[in-house]
Amino acid sequence: MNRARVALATLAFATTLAVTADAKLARTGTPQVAFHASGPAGMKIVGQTTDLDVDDQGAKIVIKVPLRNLTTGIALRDDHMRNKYLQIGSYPNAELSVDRASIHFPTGDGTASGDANGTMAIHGKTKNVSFHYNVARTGGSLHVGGTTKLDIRDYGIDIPSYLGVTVKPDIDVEVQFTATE
Amino acid sequence: MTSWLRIAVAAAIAFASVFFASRPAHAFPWMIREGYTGCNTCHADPSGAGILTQYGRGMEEVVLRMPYKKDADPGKMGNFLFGAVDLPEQLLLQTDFRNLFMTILPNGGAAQFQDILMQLDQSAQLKVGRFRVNGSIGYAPPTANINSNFTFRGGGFGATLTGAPSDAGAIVARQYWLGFDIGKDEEFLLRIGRMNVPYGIRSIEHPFLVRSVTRTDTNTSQQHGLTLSYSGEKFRGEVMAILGNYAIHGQAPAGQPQTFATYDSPHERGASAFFEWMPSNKVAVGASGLATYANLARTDLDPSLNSDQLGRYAFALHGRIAPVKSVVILAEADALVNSQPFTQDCPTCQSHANNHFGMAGLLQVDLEPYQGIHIMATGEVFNGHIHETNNPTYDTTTVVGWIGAWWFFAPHFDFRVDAVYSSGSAPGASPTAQGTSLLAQIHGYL
Repeated sequence: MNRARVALATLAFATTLAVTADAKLARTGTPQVAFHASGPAGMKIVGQTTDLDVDDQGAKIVIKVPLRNLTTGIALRDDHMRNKYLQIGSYPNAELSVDRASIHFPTGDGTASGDANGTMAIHGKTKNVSFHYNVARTGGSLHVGGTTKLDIRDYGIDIPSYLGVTVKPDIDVEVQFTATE
Repeated sequence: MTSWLRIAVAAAIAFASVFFASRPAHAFPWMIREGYTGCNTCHADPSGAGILTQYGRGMEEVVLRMPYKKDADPGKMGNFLFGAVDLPEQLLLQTDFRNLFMTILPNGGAAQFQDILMQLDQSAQLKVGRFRVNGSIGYAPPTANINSNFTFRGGGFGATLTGAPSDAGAIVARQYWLGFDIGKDEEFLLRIGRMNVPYGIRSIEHPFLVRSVTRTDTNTSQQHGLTLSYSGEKFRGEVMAILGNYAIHGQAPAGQPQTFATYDSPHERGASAFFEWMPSNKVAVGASGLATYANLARTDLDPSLNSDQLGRYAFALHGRIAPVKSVVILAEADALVNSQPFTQDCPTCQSHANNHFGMAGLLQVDLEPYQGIHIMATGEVFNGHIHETNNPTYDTTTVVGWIGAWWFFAPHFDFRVDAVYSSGSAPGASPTAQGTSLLAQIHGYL
C-alpha cells in the first residue's frame, strides 16, 4: 500500500512537472513594457507600451513587443522615435527568443528567479542578450517580470539627438506580463 | 522732463509693450508633467528660470503652447527672432518682455489700477568649451502717476545697476555670472556672480508668500555669490555661498561720511541649499535651507524689523507630482526665523528680542485640460509670531487664494489672468493689498 502511494505520488509529481514543461504559455491581462533612456545632466525619457505577445513554440519561448504604440508622452518625440530611429515601418517588432529550458519555473505556487540568455531582435539586427527574470506562480497564472540593458548602437539604431540634446545609447528595459498554462 | 512728456513716454511704452510684446523665459515647475523633473535641459540656469537653451525653445513650441497643427515639427519658429537669424550653438540670446495690468479692490476702499512693465530684459549666454558667460540687462521705466487711481511703473527695482530709479528710469540686471561645467556629462556647474538663490520651488509667481517671506523669488531677490549645482537622473541640487546683494547698499546718516561699513551694512552673508529627489519622472520631493546674517536689516522689505543686525533662517520641504499628465500638484512648507539682538525698551527697560517665527505654506494645482491652456488654483498661508521691540508681541495670519488661467496662444506669446484674494499681512511679504486683486499679464520673447 505504501509503495502504491509512493508510486502514485511520484506519478503525480512527474505529471505536474510534465504539464509545467509542456503546457503552452498564453499571455493574459495587460502587460507593461518600458524602456528608460537618459540624456545629459539628468535628463530622463521613459517609453511605454502595453503591447506584448507570448509565442510558446515548445522548446523556445518568443516574447514579441509590437512597437507601433510605444510612447514617451510627447507626440513629436514618439513620431521621431518610431519612424526616424526605430523605423517601425520596416521593423515593427522587438523580439526576445529564449530557450524554455533556461527558465526555472516555480513548481506549485511560489516564485523563482534567475539570469538567463536569449537572442534579441530589434531594427533588423539580432544580438545575444542576458536578462534577469522572476516568475511568480499563483494557481494557473504565471506573473513574469524581466529586465535587461541594451545598447541601441548594437541594433543599428542611430543615437537620437534633437536641438542639441543627445540621448545616451544605453537603455534599461523592463517587462511585466501574466501568462496562463 | 516735464510731467506731461513723462506721461506720454510712459503711455507709449505701455502701448508698445502690448503690441510688440514678447514672452519671458519663466520658471515652470509644472513641466514635470512632461517628465522633465530637472530644469537644466531647457534653461541655462541649472535650477530653472531665465534664458532658454535651444532645446528649451523647442519644447516651448512642442509641449507648451497651444498647437494649431497636430504633431507638427516646430522647425525654427521657436528660435531667436522666430528663426530669422541662425545663432551659433555656443550663443544664446533672448529678449524678454512682460507687462502686468493690475486692478486692486481693497476692502472698503476705491479701486486702484497699476500698469507695471515688469520685465524688459536682454539676456545672453556664451559657452566656449566648458566656460560660460551669462547675463541679463534691462530697463525699468520711471513711475508715472497718471491720476489718483492709476499708476504706471517699472519692475525689478531691487535689481538695478543704477540705484534707485530716476526720472529716466533704471537699468536692471537681475543675473550675471561666469560658469564652468564640470563632470563627464557636465552634470556639475560652478558659477560666480549674481544669481537666483537656490531655495524652494522655483516658480514665476514672485509674490507667493513662500517666496517673498523667504526672499527667494526670481524677480529681485538674486544675490551675489558662488554656487555649485548638480543635475542627475535621481537627484539634483544646488548650494550657494551668499556674499550679498550689491544692487543695494547702505547709506550713511545725513551729515556723516559714507564708509565701507555703512555701504556694506545691508549685505547678507550666508548660505542656501536646495535638494530634490526624483524617484520617478513624475515625482520630485525635496528640502531647502537658508541662513544669512547682515549688519543692518532691510527695513524697506520688512518694516517690522529694527534697523539692527539680522539673522535670517528658513527651512522648507517641497514636492511636485504629476499623477496624470493634465494635473500637477506643487506644495511647499516653510519654517522661518528672523532674529535680531536684544534691545531694551525704556523707561521700563524691558528687554526684547525682535524675533519673528513664522510658517508659510503653498499648495497649487495646475490643470492643463488642453495643451497650452492652464487653469491654476493656489492656496497660501502664513502664520507668524512676532516680537517687536516697541510693540506688544502678536500673532499674524495671512491667507491668500489665487485662481488663474494661462494661455500660451502663439509662438513666443502668452497671456495670463489671475484673481487673488488676500487677508492679513505677512511681515516681509510683497506688499499685497488686503482684498481682491485682478491681474492681466501679456508676455513675449524674441
